[in-house]
Amino acid sequence: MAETIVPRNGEPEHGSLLQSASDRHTPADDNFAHLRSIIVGPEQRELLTLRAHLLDPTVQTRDVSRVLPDALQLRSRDPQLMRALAPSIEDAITASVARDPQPLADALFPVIGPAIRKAVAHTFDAMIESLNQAVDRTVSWRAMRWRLVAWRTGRSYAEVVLADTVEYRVEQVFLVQRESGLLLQHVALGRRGERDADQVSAMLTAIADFARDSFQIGQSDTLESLRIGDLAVSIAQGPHAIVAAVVRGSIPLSVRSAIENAAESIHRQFGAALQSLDGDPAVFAPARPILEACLVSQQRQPQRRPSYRWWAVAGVVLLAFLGVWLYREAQTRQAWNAYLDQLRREPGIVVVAADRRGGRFFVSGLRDPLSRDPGQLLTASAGLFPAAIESRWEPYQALHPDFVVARATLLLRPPAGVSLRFDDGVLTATGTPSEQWVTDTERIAPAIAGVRRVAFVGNTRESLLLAKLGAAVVSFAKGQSTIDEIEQQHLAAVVLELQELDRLLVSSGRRARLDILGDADSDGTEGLNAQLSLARANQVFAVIRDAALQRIESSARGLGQSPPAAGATPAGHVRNRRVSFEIRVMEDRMVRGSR
Amino acid sequence: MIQKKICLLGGSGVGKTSLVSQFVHSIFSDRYLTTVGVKIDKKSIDLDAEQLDLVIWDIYGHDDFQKLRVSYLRGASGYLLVADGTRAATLETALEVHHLAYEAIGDVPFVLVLNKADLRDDWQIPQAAIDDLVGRGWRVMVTSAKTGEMVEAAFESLGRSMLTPARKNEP
Repeated sequence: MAETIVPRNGEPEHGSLLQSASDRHTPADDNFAHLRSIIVGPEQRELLTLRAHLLDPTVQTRDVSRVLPDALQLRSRDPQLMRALAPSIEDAITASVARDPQPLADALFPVIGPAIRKAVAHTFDAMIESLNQAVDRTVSWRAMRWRLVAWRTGRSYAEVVLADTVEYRVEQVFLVQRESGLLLQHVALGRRGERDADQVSAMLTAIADFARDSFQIGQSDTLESLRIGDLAVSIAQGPHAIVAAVVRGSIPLSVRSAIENAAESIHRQFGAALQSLDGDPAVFAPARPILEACLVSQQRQPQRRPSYRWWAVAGVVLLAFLGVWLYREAQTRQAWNAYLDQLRREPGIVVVAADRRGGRFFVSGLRDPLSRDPGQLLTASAGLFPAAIESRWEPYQALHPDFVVARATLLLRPPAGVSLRFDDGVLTATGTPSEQWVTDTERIAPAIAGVRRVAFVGNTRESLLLAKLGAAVVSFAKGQSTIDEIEQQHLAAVVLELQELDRLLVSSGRRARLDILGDADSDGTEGLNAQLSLARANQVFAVIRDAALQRIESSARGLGQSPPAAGATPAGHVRNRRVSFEIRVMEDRMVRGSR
Repeated sequence: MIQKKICLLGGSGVGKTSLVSQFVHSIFSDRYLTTVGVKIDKKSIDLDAEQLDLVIWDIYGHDDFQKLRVSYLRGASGYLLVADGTRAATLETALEVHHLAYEAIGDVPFVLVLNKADLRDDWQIPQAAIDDLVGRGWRVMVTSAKTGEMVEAAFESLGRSMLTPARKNEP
């Protein structure tokens, strides 16, 4: 392509002319050539040298290499150049890594090492902060709520705790020129810190420098956060500017990333302006939206994600409640019916009406005062509360045998040894009561409800005494009318019995007649025997008279000799030598089967 | 509005802090000077209808016990070099500090301020020395923190020189 040399005036074919001139060898040409060499010889040689130079790639390379650095520097700010170079550089890096990643890894090591350390440290700081808070609140109602939320949303407990505990508010964001500490932009919630932001920004830089100088930390390491109580400053460092966020609460990882992204973004967009700052912050006004995006806050917000699990829980709880309610209802109904049955079975209680309205129970009826307390019956049945029951009992007298007996016992007060029984309208007293009690009972008992008649079973004391007296005998020796010692004792017993009977008669206002009958055996004469029998009767009479009975009228009689039937045998004779008694109570009413 | 970082430099006890205290707005107490070694003040001045916000880094005095923290100088667009007119040694210190600053941040505008102008009787710095510095292109101003004399002018002078040849002086 470089066959021809195009001189500056644009005249063509010069080179070819020179070339062809040397090929022909005519004298005229020679002359011309000579002439030409005289006139333009030096230029011709120079042209030939230049041509050789231009056509030699080695020389060209050397020439370009000489100017390349300057050329690149000249257009270092030219985006076109960057675009042109970028693919080659990317390819070169890719190729280098593909061939042997080690050199690049070695080169990047000093950069990547600290970067990874920082990232790990950040993550751990945030985690430890959150975990500390989580541990603090493990045993609280909040912890229980977290567990519920975790279960309901299917997230891990730790995740819920982290999300819930990281409460923060980014209140101010500073964009600061790194070197001078000059404030480039400041955004805040409301008008916080507006007035003094430039001084704060400078002081922040000073403190960062102070910390670095004081602890002799390398230039690449920078102050990343400050914390004063609840307030913290998180600082993202770029090469020319820093973004500092004033955060109330714990700094979550998201805020950290937000300001780091903001710093990167601002460097990308305002890189040139940051380096050539002439002190006019207005240049960075367009960066405000980037900074404002960092003004984030998180408050605890309840998770409002209705999930089927929640409904399932609600359903289960509802069913559980329903089940419990039905069970309790059935139990209550059963207890109520059992109570009513028990009331109906209970003697002396008549249930007339039972009802159940609005959770309260009503029962009414008749109740014998002698029956058991219905309240006591209730405590025996489970599932009912006495307070829930309203009872209304009208008093009445039950004709149940037990109640008749109980009432009769209260009224008649039977003496010891006497028992009462009631059956089919007949009140039966068994035992040995006094005649008086019998008399009273006969009068009062028919007034007791249900009692039509009174019956007595067994002897009364009076009839017992009468029977004893009727059987009593005082024996005498043959032909004698005096009472020997043994017989005197028999007679004394008879006298005691008579005295008891006399007392009974006094108390019941009656009288009795006692016949003292003397007897004799059939030996001897009839006249003698008549005398003897009377004498014997008089002997006994004398003793009884001394007893001074009030209501018993005594008389002595000699029976003479007893009829032969009684005295035919020697035993009969003995039996006939005696005094016996006959007693009659003067009372029409007293009809008793003993005699 | 343009804002610039400037530093107040000089030996101990030359009155740097009191020089500016009545002219500046500060939210930090003087305690910062002895703890962190720097205190940030702020001053706005109007230069030819343009507002210049000066963020002033009042850096703790340089002496035998406390060396200047040069990291605090970074990014400064200028500085006030303060010396005590009644103590010649402080001028020496100021020159030393100037040298350190020059090494740290290069050729940026500065103004040498000779303070305590109110103590004329005790004045120790000869006029010849001042003339010599002025002859070397230095701007030298004699001020009084007590009366406020020339203090504003010193800030304005520095501000003006920072703005006019703006980029030339950036390090």
